Amino acid sequence: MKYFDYFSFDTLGETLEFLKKQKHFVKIISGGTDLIIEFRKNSPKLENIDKVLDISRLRVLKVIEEDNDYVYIGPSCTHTEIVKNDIINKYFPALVEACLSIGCLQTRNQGTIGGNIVNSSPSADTVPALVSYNAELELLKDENIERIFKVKDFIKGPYKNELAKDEMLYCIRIPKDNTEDRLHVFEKLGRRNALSITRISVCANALLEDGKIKKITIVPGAVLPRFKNMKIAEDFLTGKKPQKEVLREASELVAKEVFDEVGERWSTPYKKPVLEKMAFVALCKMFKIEII
Amino acid sequence: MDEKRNIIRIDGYEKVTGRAKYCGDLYFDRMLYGKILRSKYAHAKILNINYEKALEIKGVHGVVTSWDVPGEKTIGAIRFDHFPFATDKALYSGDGIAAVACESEEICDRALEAINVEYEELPAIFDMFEAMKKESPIIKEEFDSNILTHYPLRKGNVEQGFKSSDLILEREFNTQFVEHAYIETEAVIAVPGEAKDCYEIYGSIQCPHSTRKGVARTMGVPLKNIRIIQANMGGAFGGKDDSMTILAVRACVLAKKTNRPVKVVYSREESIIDTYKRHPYNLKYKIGVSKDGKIQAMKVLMYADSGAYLSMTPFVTWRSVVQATGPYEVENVETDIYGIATNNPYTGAFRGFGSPQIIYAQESLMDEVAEKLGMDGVELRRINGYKQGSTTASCQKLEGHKVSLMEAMDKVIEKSDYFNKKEEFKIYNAKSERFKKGIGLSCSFRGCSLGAEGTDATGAIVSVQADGSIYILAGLAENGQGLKTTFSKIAADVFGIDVSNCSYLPQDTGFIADGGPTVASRSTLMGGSAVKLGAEIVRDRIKDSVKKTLEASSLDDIVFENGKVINIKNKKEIEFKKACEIAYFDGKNITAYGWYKAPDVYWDEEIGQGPAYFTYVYGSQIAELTVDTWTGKIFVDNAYAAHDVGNAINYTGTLGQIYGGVVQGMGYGLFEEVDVQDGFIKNTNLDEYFIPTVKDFGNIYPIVIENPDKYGPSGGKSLGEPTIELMSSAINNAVSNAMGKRFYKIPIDLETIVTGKQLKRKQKRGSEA
Ligand SMILES: Cc1cc2nc3c(=O)[nH]c(=O)nc-3n(C[C@H](O)[C@H](O)[C@H](O)COP(=O)(O)OP(=O)(O)OC[C@H]3O[C@@H](n4cnc5c(N)ncnc54)[C@H](O)[C@@H]3O)c2cc1C
Repeated sequence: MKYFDYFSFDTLGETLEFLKKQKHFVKIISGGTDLIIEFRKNSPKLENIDKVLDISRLRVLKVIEEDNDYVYIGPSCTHTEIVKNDIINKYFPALVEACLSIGCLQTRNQGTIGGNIVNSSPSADTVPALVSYNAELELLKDENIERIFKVKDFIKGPYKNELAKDEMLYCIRIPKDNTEDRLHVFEKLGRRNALSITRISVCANALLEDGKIKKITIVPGAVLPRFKNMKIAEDFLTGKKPQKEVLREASELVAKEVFDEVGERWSTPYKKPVLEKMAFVALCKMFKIEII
Repeated sequence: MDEKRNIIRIDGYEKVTGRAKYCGDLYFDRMLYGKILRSKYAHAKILNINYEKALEIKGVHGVVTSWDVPGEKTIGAIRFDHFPFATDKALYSGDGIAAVACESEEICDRALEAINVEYEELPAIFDMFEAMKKESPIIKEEFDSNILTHYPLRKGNVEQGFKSSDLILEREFNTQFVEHAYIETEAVIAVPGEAKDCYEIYGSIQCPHSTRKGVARTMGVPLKNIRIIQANMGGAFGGKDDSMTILAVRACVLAKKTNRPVKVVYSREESIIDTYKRHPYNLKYKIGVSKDGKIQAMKVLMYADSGAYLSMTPFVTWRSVVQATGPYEVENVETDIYGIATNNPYTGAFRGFGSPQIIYAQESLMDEVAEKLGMDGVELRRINGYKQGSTTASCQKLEGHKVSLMEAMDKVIEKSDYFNKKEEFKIYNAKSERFKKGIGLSCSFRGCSLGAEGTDATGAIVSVQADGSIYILAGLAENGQGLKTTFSKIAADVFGIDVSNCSYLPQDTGFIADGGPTVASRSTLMGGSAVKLGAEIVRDRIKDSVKKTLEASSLDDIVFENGKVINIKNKKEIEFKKACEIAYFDGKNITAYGWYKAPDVYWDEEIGQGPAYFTYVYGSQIAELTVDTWTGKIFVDNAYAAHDVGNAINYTGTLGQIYGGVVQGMGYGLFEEVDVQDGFIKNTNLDEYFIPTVKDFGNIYPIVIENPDKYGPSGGKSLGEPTIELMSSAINNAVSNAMGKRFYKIPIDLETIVTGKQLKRKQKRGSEA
């Protein structure tokens, strides 16, 4: 167990002020469902860290709003809050599915979307959904200096991201293009049906026009060091009718693209065929094609 | 029957409301916290331990090593080979080297870091077959080889049997290390007593009297100086036996050194690293059958990884040898089992105790034999399975109790609609590309209680108060299994009153005689009988006192029913309460000790023959499942479990045992494996060691069979362990039925289904699960 000092402020201003003043890296804590475990393990990731800054009391980080262009999600929203939110359910059902798949009810009540993103695990479940919806992050330094990243660019590798030491994640915003007409899917595989780290997931959404795929994004989870769209499969599918054989071919492309990148590992003989099948299952589900 | 179904658990209120104190909740004045330093190597000589730096840290009150153990350095239930503090050598990665007592756990962490141990790493052996090689070094000096135990069994002539067989099948099976994963991790508080060299030990201790022996031995004091007081238990499953003796010794040595109470609570990681596991087995079965399905001969060769210590390996492997050929009549049997020392984590008692491994193998084998003969596994089992008067592999005639194997099978088959489902699934599977459905059965017999392992006797105190309320205390312990309720029910039935009139006293070795360990599914059978005998003694004394009031001419006319004591001849009756009051004022001792000694059993160790157990239970389970052949995921849609319990004294408790055992069996077959690499456990918490959650299985249908046993209290006998031993083979058979492919290793994980074998990651990577 690693021990630390705890700080918490009433306002965003004071919080940012405090962050700026620190010489060492301070750890922001939100739900703590990732961080406390790291502290308990005395993880090497926490070397040099002896202060924890609790942001869970800041109400501004807990709102979900929309305007014409975006839906804005406060990073301190818990998975349960997202699952219950009407706006998210209306536009981003795959994100709802992703949040619903996390841990167990207690984890979902405590863990937050911001924590899930900033922890930047390759098996973070909300991230494939966010990437598939082309979500962006607003990072705040002091109340004026803001940097914006696409989620897929923000995460640089396993547990690595662009967050600077005096910066915090302020908002997650997701563009609202054609969202209402899209089809969505999130498929996840773990060793268990609850409380299980994702082995493979596939998140996708698509827009159809005259029975043909006008636009599609496919983002796998837990198989790559960084999250990304499966460009080759997406291009292959664009303009085609979503028929079983086409989807099967696209799934092969997904597996190929992933494993061309990561190469052969201990788990590849399993993960490669299964990713292909998972992609196929996800695509069929999305386009409402029955498989048994 | 209805009354049986509605018993309220007598320790339910305090557990549901959170009032029940577990050991971790207890605090004593001036109490310190203890922590254990464990070995850095799986096998090493300890050259020097320097802890001066640790003692300099503020808040550190004591550091102890093997040197500080005042009595013998070893404990052991069967042989004294286990060092609570490694002396000279560390034999596995969980071995304790030193312990600290400090003002807080945080200080303990720092103190442990400040201890400097010089090791000389020794060549370690992690593979049983490697360990058996002539040229391999001997791991345990007190044994003359790495083969710690060997039990043979010889019956008839196997060569002859194979000669008269039409089909001979040889198959090899492997099982894994498994963790008990009780909710509550190990915890102990050792408190120096007021009298000289006396200690009180509170803890999550499964067998208080066994722990007392080990503590007294190592502290160098008589048994009477040590009192073990059991706190409420958050589960044990066999796992809090000698492991807790080790912990109690460690805490007690710290308490002696500091002269203050010391509390040690293992973290989940420590719990997994330190304590024993279920034995991994390698099993080689050879079976010969004639065309008509009659088994002619069986030859079984088994190896069990004992790890670094003997622990319960002799008894565990002995049970395996008795039951290795399953509930089948076989004329010619040759069985051998060897317990092997390695530098792996040590293995010991775990619900099932040497049966889950063999049943997994032998019941999988039965289905494969049947398939080769072109018959259903059920048919093969019917042909060979035990019937009334059958003879076991050790030539014991099964009589004096109802041999209900066929009844169990018939009932579970009927309930599950086994044969129709098989047909349905054939049709379904032919159409389905992704999902395959299957159904599989297994069955077993199991010897009740300790059998020829050792002395089998136990006692209980039944103390009736003047107002008709009752205290009960027995020598066997409540580990979460519901013993308090069952024992109370047994006493309450004798007095014809409701269970709610009973209170169960805290388990304390100072107040109750040593009645052996709480193991081997023996509590209801043995302890329950002792309670019943005790209650009957008191009942008869009360009868004597109320004879006049009830104007009874004979004591036989007096019965205890519905809270009343009644003269059945003249219908005169008084309240039970009133009867107790009369007896009390009559100067009667209305407290009594019941003592029950099991009928004699016998075993010839040379040839493995004899009546091993005085009675047996029978059971059969069916798994009905869906395999997602694309991902390798298996989901047990329906599980059916039929068990003969003699008499379901506490019906709800009976169901609870079945549900729990079935799910634990699913974990054994599908999910659970302690990943031991080079002697170190890689999955040290429950995020990586997978026990099934409530979302990982479908329906469970318990079928309770009641054929009262003449030896059990009101006919009740064993259930706890039978429930866990069958599911893994039922699942294996169902998977084969679904996929038309057989597997010979558990757990059947995702990778096994998709690639045909388990895949192991060599080094731990953060990003990979
Ligand atoms: C039992 C269990 C099961 C789990 N199951 C899953 C699962 O199925 N899928 C899954 O994806 N995850 C799972 N997790 C992981 C975890 O719950 C999620 O990642 C959760 O979303 C983390 O959120 P949090 O608020 O608890 O993060 P915290 O632990 O509070 O923080 C995590 C990281 O984010 C940083 N951080 C948090 N908020 C901000 C902010 N606003 N600005 C800057 N940095 C910030 C912290 O500094 C820290 O580095 C599980 C965890 C547990 C304990």
